[in-house]
Amino acid sequence: MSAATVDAVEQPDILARNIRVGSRIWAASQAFFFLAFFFAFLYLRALNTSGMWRGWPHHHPSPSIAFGVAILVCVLGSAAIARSAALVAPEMWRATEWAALALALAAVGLQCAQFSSLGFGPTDAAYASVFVGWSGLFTVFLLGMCYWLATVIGDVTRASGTPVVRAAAVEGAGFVLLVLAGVEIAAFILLYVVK
Amino acid sequence: MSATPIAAQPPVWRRLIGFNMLTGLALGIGGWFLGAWIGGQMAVGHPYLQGTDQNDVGIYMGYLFAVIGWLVGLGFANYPIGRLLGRAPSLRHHETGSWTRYFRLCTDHKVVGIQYLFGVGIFFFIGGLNAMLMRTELLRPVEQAWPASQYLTLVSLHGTMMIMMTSAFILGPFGNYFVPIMIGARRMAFPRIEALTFWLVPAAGLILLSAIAFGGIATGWTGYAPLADEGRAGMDAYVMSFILIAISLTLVGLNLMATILTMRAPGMSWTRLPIFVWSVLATSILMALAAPVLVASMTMVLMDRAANTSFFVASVGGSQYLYENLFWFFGHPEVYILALPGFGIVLEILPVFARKPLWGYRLAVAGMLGVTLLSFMVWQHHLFVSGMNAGLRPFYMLTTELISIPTGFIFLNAIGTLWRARIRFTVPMLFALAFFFNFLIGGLSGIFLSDVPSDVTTHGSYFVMAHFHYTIVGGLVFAFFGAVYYWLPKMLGFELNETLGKIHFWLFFVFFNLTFFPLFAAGFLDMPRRVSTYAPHLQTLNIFVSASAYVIGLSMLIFIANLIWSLVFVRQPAAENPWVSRGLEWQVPTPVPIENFDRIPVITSGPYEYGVPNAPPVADFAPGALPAAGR
Repeated sequence: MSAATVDAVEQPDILARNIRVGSRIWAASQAFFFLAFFFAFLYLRALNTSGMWRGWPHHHPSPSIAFGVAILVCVLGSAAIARSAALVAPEMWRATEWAALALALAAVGLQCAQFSSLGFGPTDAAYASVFVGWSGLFTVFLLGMCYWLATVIGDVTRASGTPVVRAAAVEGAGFVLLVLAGVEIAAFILLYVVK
Repeated sequence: MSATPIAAQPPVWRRLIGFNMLTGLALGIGGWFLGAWIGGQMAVGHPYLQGTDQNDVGIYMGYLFAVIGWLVGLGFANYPIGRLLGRAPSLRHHETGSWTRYFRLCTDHKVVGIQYLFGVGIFFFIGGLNAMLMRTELLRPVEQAWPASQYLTLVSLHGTMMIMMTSAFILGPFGNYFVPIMIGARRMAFPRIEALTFWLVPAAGLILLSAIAFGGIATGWTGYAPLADEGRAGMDAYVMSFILIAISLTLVGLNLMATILTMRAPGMSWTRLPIFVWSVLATSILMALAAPVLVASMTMVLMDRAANTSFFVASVGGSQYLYENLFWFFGHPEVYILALPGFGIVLEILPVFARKPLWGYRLAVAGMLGVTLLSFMVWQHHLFVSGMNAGLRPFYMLTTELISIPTGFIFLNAIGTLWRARIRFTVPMLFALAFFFNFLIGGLSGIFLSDVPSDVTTHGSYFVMAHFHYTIVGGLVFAFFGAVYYWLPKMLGFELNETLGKIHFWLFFVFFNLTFFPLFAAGFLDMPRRVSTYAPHLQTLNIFVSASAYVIGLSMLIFIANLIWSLVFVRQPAAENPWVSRGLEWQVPTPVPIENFDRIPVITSGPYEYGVPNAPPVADFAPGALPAAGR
């Protein structure tokens, strides 16, 4: 059966609605995933078991705030641009999605750079564990988001599919990235400011 | 329906080459060795990764690459790579063709449903065999067949396998197969994701079984830290398999929820939605929100084991209570992930065989949504004896006891529906009625466990074990078999033998109760869970329980014999609507056409208006003025 034949039964407005609703559910699932790390931070910090929340007395892990700010700015910028893409004319989508992708990739690169010069590691007690776990997995999710943005760029560039489905893909990706940006704000406040 | 040209089928040997299960297995095995080697190399020169007492990094990388190989071999990489390369591949894949579509990526929701039915069924059977082995060990009060550690691995494998597989027991086969048909849609919202959710299940099952080769699992199904951190490499299999299942559950929830929200046929208002679909929607909410927390908590265990983080290591600032909280934040909604679809099935079956409308439809919906909401607020009752803050106990005791109110609604629905009904005691109806009997005992015993004073005395005993088997086996598994007997004629197109079905039911029902009811007494007599030795005076009780359990095993063999007899030898074609049901799924031909409906139907009345004078037909299947798809 040819692709054209079998896909002919799919109505674009239903596909678009699926993408919109699916992206919101996925964003909620993502939020609950990071809720576990949010809870872990607050719980372990409050318990301070063996007085080891921040590590050994003379070795308190302290990640670079400059890296933290740079990552936060990149993620927020990426999310703001991706989300605003839904508000601009379709001709602008390609440029906005490219900008969002570039900023998201920059955030991934900055996180990798920070890990390579962290000055502490996952074995340095509870805070370090939460930092490495939360930041590392956030980067994995951000990489997945980059793939999504890349496919949206591909669709927009080649004008594949119908306009309504492309619009839903742009809007859905922007929404999920916005929720990820919310997660990053929480991470920045807890991991860099509150500690 | 659009024309679908049928191409000539290539010969069998050609069909075995390409993206299918065999290729997936080959790439999965190759991926395991490649990943294990890469993991071994990664650990060199990285003190964090070398600090573990066994090559956990190599094992995890082996599993990761095995899963990637498995999925690539099945063809799951083609679509995402195609998208990046600028191709526009079909949203749908291998929906037509011969039997080989059952062994490869197929985006037809009906094929995925049948894949789930048999795939999950196989692992359920393995989990059941573990139970038989455990009961054999318990025939004597001292160690006999297996040392304590191996017995514990058996317990863990049984529990984990059953929890993992029963999570997808109803939504996998019946949710995927019937929800699109019941709401008047042609497919699921995300057919590829739907296929992915199934193919993760065998990967998870096989990885879990591989724990036997890596020293077993010492923690039971809950995987509590710090034992999980200290366990042998078998724990890596536990962690990896649970992560895969949780990802699968999240995606199942996402897909089903999106399907129900967006793809209902015109006229399928919320008050006309079949009650089974409501139960699937409620379960999907739990799956999409609770399962990600399980992925996160298992990832923390993975990092503790492989990278020496200290999430759950108290000496380095972590806390095992963190694990318990995170695990049960998933674990208690998980109980309702198991129970809610069972509610939906039995309430779907009752009106058909009582020939009366479902009593209190809105009450049933409220009950299910109430359970969904409350299930996120009760998890700490699992920690009553863990040393938690005593001031928190009353709140969780109250919320746990509150949840019995919406659950009670379901019983009211059943009583109201059966009241003065002329009941047809078919096999599905027998299973549905047994559900209420069993679940009542499970629910009442649950009240004892929600109550702090009685929980303190029974925690960790066979009382708890009897309670959750009454809810999960007595509830979910009985509902599952009810659904099998009810819907299999539509799914496979053949009738099952009713006499064998009734023998299966009665043996299962009677001996299920004879197996698990005495275990309440064993719990009160202080027989602890997960231990292969017990006080000698309990031997007679245990012999009785083991003998009853063997008969349950026999009843399952009768079911399998019925399946083989009916599907392979007799092959009596099923009528299109053998139960004279008003359900939309029974109004379509058998076998169900690939697009489900020629035209998207317009729903004209509710599905339960049995015996209602002048009730209109459930749907108009030839709505000429309407487009071919849409709401």
